[in-house]
Amino acid sequence: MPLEAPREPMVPLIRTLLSFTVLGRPNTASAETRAPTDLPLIPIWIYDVFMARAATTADAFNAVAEPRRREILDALSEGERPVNELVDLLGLAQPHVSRHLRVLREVGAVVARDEGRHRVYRLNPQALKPIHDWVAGYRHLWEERFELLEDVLEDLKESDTQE
Amino acid sequence: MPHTGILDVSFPSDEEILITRTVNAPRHLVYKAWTTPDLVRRWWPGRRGEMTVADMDFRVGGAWRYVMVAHGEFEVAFHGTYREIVPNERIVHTEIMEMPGTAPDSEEGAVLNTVTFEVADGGATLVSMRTDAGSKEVRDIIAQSGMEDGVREQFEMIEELAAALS
Repeated sequence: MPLEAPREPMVPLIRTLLSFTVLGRPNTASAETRAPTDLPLIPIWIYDVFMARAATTADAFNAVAEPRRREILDALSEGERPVNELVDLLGLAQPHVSRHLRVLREVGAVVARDEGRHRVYRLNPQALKPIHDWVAGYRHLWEERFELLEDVLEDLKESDTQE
Repeated sequence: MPHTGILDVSFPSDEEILITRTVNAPRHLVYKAWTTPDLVRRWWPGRRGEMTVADMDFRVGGAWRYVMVAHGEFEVAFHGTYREIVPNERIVHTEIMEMPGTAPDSEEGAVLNTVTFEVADGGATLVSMRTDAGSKEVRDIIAQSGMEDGVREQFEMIEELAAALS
């Protein structure tokens, strides 16, 4: 993995990504079991900050940072839809919807096919995986830390009793 | 009241991140594990590498610096200053991730972390970590990224989608 020197201040970027993380992670007990296991051995959120510098990943983050685009993704998560349905659903003018769809298509988050006179869009969740990985990473790091902390505490409890 | 073992992450304001976790140990021991360099070394890197530096000048105004080396000799470093220390109860400190060019004593762009330790039921301890990003700049960046309240639900959806892939 190439680690380029940052072109812009990293701290704001890191914080922005942090906010993604926090917003992105629902409070569910089962969530940790989904965390990726094949991570490189550096704090994953740092890894992903660098990863986020790769164009595609950064673009995926940007693409889903817009609320209406998330609405589109949400709608497509139930199945493919033609543009006109998305227009009705979002209550936006067609050019706006098309513009959002173009952004999503450019990062690979949606895929289009022509069906008769309509363009039909479907979701390509693979493109969102980097975001998932990032979201899982920060939480997972802290889960690991607390697990190890509990090991430390077990040792401390033993010596505390002996004292 | 969080259950033991479950990490809770929330976003109390536009500028803050809150992590809470109950651990099954008395408060004074949790505090000890959090503030003793040789013990910090055992948990802070997670399972991702070895901690090579755990400098803690543990007094108000004192500096701390953590460095870990992951396999592949990739090094990451953080430092900051202790702002407030209430033994067994509360630690407030700044934190900055060192990037190429970061001066060792630089506080520029630091976040402010408040760690509190509270006695919980059954002899357990509730650890809360509040990170305050604390600047208009950061808030604006977050706002520009569309990180307004209410984003959570949409991200849960993304989360589910992506989880189905793994």
